[in-house]
Amino acid sequence: MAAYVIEQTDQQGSVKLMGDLTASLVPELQARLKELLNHGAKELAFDLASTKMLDSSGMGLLIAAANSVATNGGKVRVTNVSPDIFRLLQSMRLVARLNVSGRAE
Amino acid sequence: MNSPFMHAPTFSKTIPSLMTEADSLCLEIRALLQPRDLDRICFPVELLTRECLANAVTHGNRSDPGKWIVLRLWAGREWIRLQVTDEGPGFAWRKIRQSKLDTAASSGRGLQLYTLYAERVRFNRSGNQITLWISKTNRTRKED
Repeated sequence: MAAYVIEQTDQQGSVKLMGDLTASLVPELQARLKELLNHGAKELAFDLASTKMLDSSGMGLLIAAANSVATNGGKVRVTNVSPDIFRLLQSMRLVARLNVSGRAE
Repeated sequence: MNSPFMHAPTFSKTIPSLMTEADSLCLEIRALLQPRDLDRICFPVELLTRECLANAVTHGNRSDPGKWIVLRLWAGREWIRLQVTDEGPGFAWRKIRQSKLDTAASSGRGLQLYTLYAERVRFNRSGNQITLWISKTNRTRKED
């Protein structure tokens, strides 16, 4: 199974992670995101419903994506994060920057 | 804090400097902790293991698969002690520890995570070995 599924409609891109967002996945996904941004995506949504682990490389990817779309007036959203990942992003003061929302109970 | 860890590690493994090997090792740690009623600290221990291994692979051993990384884990009554050693020359950890990070920066959060989730962080003199103490009762120390 692929580690993620990317879809793009107009200026919106979505990335559904099928597992963890960690250092081993980041280089490949970063290259795919670059293509997405080159094709004009201004809004990026990351769905972390199946993600149990997010490390500093994964956070770096999300922040780099947010920085890139912000230059075009866009933003990222990170949705369906687990309680552990929400607490992590809260502690790193990234909840507002990445528009993070948790999983529905 | 030291006395429970004088004995042999609960878990020890040596891997080549490859991220795929580091990934597999992290999943082994996850599998080791879950059946031991340690679900609550599974996330911090796995996260810190990932950070230590990623640093050892990329910064320590410069992704040279001919160089090795040694991970040791001691599970005490109140603490988990995690130690990762690489074959690199080390780094100036004293300088990096003092620097502050911008929230817009897309890298440099590894050390911040050490101090966020571990009660105690210790490097050897050269900086190619890190030892972390993680409390079984404490979660993140700083939350906003």
